[in-house]
Amino acid sequence: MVPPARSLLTGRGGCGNLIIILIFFCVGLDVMTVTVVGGLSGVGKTHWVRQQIQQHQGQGDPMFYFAPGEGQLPLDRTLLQLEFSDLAGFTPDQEADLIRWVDAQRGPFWGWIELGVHMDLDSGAFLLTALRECADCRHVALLPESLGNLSTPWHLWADEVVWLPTAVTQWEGLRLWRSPLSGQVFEPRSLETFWQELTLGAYGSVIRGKGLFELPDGHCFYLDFCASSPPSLYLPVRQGRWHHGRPQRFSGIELVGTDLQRPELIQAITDCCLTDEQLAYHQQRFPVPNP
Amino acid sequence: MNIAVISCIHGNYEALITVLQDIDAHQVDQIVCLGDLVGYGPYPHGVVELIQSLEIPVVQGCWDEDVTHGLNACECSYPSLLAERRGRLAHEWTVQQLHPESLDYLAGLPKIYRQKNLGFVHGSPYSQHEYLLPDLDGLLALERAIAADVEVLFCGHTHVPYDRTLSGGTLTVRVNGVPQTIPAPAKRIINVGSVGEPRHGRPHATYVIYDTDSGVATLREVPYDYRRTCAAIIEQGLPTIFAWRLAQGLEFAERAEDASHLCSRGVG
Ligand SMILES: [Zn+2]
Ligand SMILES: [Zn+2]
Repeated sequence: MVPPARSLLTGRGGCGNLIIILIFFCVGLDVMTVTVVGGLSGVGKTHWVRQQIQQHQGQGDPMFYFAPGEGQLPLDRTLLQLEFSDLAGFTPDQEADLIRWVDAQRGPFWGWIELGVHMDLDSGAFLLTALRECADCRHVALLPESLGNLSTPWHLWADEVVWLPTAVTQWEGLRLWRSPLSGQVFEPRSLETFWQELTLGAYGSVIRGKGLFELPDGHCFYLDFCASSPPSLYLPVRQGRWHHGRPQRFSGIELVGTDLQRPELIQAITDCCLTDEQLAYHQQRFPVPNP
Repeated sequence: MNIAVISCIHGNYEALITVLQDIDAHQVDQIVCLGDLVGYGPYPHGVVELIQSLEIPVVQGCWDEDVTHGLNACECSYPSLLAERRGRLAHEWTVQQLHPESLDYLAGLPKIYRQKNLGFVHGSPYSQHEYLLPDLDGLLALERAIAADVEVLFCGHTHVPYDRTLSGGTLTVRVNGVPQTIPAPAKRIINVGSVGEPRHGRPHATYVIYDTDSGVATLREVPYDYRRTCAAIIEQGLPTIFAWRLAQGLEFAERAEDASHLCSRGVG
């Protein structure tokens, strides 16, 4: 791949050349940057990536986001792509597509690879070896200030540590539980009760909970809980309302904690969801608004 | 005279015997029970038997009505799908546990009990399923007390205790288009909370001792071994969330959102 500094400089001459060469040389060192983000659950990794995307958005450079540990639950990617429509996203089995995408870039670009707390910090190593041929790759760990004096797996791994004033401190012995919910529609008051129970520990000790939930009026809501900074966030997701039948788009829930009671969680979630008849009844009550 | 008013035992035998011991220790002349002997808890039969043996005035609660008359068709009992599905499980289990004599006893309970200027109901004078919440509109609350034709109205059903005095005044009503002014004396509504399924923020049982001479209502909050009840709930195969909720004593959305909503079934 041709570095942009060179390709953009062809055909220029004179004194201006030197200035332009210097500028592009400096910029050229970090314009193709892939940042691998790691850190504790609930520390704000995706939030940090979101801020980075916002900062670079105005430049019009291509950007990608990749979470190799997202499994069947692309929660963060879905939200980021809904907010930043130009953001390229890849599923865990699309590593080859990601390498091709990077390879195809002829100008500056930015990329973020987010490693969940459950991921081995070496898990992106193979991909990074491939990406390093055409981009500057660095490891950024997001850690709570309170862990500054402790030795964590991230201390050795990171090229840069971003210290955050958060109360999150737990990373050992945590379990991840997630479930896709696509097609399921939640009765709002049941969802509210369930989320309240969940965050108060009815199904085990949850330190981090987030999910996308479809409601009968066609809206989708994002619920986000972090035990170190309650209360929960309830955010409407900016996408079209789904009016007919079961929503054919992604929704799901992800929890990180200890002693998570899976059968009880599944039962409670099932009990919150509308049957076909109930959904049809609700969709009649919330008809499609006239344009 | 001291009257102990208890409500919402919900099959919690452990809580009931502890409260009865507390009543014993407080020079109480009479006990009145505001219903909901069963539901959620693991010992519906034991609680019904014990209450029956006390030979005290008991009014019918929403659960006592539902287990004998079939589940309420009106949605006011179940404010959410989740509550409804869990409630149905508990309902079916409770009906199975109760002996025919117990069911007959519950079915035969009155909806209201009056003693001089005092009235005793489960939810409201209109329905065992109506919630008289502490923030119910003053006029509506006053109207409920007037409907019961008493000065002090005791209720339960919300599982959160309160003592509310409603200032009097005049009410203007139209009878055949003709306005009529009727004096409305001050009334008092006392919610005694719950013995067996408290939702006031702590797991302790609550009830009220009312002194008929002074008019002083004393709210008793009685700690009991709720862990035993929790263990029994799980042992009996009831939803484990009931045990968790009991241990929290937290208020959950198990109540009608519209406080003034009246169950269409009403008090027969
Ligand atoms: Zn009750
Ligand atoms: Zn009740």
